[in-house]
Amino acid sequence: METRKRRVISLLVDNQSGVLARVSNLFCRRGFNIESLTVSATNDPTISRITVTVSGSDKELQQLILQTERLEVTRQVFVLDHDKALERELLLLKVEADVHNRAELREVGSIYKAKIIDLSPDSMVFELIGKPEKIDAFLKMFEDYKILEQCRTGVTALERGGMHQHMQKPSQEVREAQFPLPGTKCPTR
Amino acid sequence: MQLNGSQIFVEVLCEQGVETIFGYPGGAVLNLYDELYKNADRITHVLTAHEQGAAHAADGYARATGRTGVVLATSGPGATNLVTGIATAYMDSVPMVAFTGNVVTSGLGKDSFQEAYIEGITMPITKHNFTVRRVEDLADTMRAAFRIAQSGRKGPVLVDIPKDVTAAVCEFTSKKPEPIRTVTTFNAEQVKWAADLINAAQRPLVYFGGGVRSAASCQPLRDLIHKAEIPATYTLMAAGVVPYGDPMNIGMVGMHGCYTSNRAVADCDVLIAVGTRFSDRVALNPKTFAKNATIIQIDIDPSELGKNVDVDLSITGDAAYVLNAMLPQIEEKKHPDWMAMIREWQAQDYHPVSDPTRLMPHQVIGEVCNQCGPEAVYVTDVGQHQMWAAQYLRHAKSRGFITSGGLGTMGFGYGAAIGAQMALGRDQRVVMFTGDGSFHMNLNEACTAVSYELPIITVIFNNQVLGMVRQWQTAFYGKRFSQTDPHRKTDFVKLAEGFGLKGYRCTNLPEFQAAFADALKQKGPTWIECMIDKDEKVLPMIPGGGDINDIIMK
Repeated sequence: METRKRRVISLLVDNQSGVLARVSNLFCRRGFNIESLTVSATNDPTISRITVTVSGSDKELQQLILQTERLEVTRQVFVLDHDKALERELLLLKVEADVHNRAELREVGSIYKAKIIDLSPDSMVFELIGKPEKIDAFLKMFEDYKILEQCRTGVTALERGGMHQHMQKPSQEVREAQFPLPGTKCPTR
Repeated sequence: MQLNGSQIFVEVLCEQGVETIFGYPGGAVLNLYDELYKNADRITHVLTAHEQGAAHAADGYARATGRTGVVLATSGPGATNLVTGIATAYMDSVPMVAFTGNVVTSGLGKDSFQEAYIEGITMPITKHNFTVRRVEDLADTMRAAFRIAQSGRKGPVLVDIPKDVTAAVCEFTSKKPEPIRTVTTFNAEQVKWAADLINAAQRPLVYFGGGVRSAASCQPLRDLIHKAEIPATYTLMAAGVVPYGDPMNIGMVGMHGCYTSNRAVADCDVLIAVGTRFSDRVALNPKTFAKNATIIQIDIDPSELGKNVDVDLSITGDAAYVLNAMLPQIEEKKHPDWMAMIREWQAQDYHPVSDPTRLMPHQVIGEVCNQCGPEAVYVTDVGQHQMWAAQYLRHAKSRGFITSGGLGTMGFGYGAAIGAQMALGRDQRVVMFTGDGSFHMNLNEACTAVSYELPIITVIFNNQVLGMVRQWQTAFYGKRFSQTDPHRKTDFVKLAEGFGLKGYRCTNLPEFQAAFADALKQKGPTWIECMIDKDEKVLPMIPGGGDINDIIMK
């Protein structure tokens, strides 16, 4: 059984209408299991960045990258190095709160450095920015409270340091370095 | 030069060297058709009975020539009728550009009359598709479509053009078409490793597919198998690439491939896969496929490398370039022991036995070969007849066997035959094999063949049933013939007459010989209905998920 790992993929694509439909259509058709997907503009107005969180084996991930490369709109695909990646996600959480539990809820929030951005007589809205693991942990604290509504943006990510080295290389070269196709070593019989 | 969208449409088609297009008019493409009317001397438009037929015709045109097939349809139902044809081309990597009209841009998204979001519908079955919202973008979008269709791994592209764009005016400058972007690069070190593996092999086998259909890759492939005495087996998509009489050609592989080929796959020590994707109709069980072999895979599309079956060495590149680089490194060799094993298996292989009391498929196909000679182009529909044609045709040239492999589209044949005949001219002999099931799907295109006086000879294997499904029901469903015995009363001879063509019915070989000889003399299309037994089977057969140990020979 191949190990399944969770990974964050950066997809640089042409910034044009329908590009998200093309990418999500492909993921759906090929049966790739996506945990989260975010789309955003970049400093280059002709390029959008799609950040995808996906769990799977190396082979599945390689297929995902190879298939995505086939799209005309794809310029670059690479997997972020987990040790260097800055992953962030935003959570908005609305919980039932009244005079009796308002203080303890505020206490939970302050430990996680979550902001309270709305307060009403019967509810409270937290805003929390952090790694997905932190958000998961924060949400676990609310198992005994009544969550009214919840919204997560999904992961957006960059790597530390200067310009990402992968962005200056052809997609094929990056993929070969990250997920080599069979044949990088001479097969022995 | 100021031109309107319709004029630009025609100019870019001419610029791209398009001489023939297939299509069907309608409201959203009236402007385009008006311009085609004025330019009838520059572009031949073939009107089919149904847009699906037009799409298959464009596909057949492309398969027969290697050039890009072009189809034009109106919005809504016109566009959706193309879908099966586009998907067929996509699965077999056929270069094609489909143009569809659409409602005016202000009506898009408003459920206007005959509106369909064809860009969304065809996203997963095209290499890429476009909606042109400004006339200024039309020319370059069309040029991009032709470039994408022919570059790298080929495939269909769709361009959707709203009606107002075909009327709007802008500045137009003619451009020369870009040269086709072939993939010329490959890793030379990997090619050397592959050559070393092949040179050291005791029991090498070449397994090739549709990726070597182009003339440029046929020859180095043939040179390779002769230089190192490597037997070669092929997929349905590559029939004719190596001539049938070639001693190194050991026949088709896969579900209905011959025993020899499937046995050779199981026993070879080095398998050289060229331009093929280990589909589930060949690598029926990906775990046991060629399990004793070191597998080398050469493909232009890196996403195919190791996709279905784990391989040991993969080379990304165009087969023509890779094989040409490999050839000088291949040692001239003989493999007498291996070839002796192959010859032994060939002797044990399935060979149909003629029965004087009935007309049998191999006799019909054999007779067609006798009378047509090696230069004919063969087209098939999908089903038992398709497999018989692949198994028993004694000769077909590369691009001379046109069939829907990946999608397996029943009803593909007649449209494709029209496309091939239009591409190659009326002096080219085109023979279409079909079954009564497939033929019922799109025989309406007979009217097109009559209108354009295309001398297509259609050989209908009429077993009165949906034979391929029935064969599976016989083998795996306890002979419960669910919906495969339709009791149709179609009189194909009378129906032919109704369409304005000549029909024949044959129940034995002498009748077929006479009918086919007469059909060869006709100027227009003909049908020959061959009455065959409803229990006629395609053999050998390896059930899905099986391997050589599961082969059914009788």
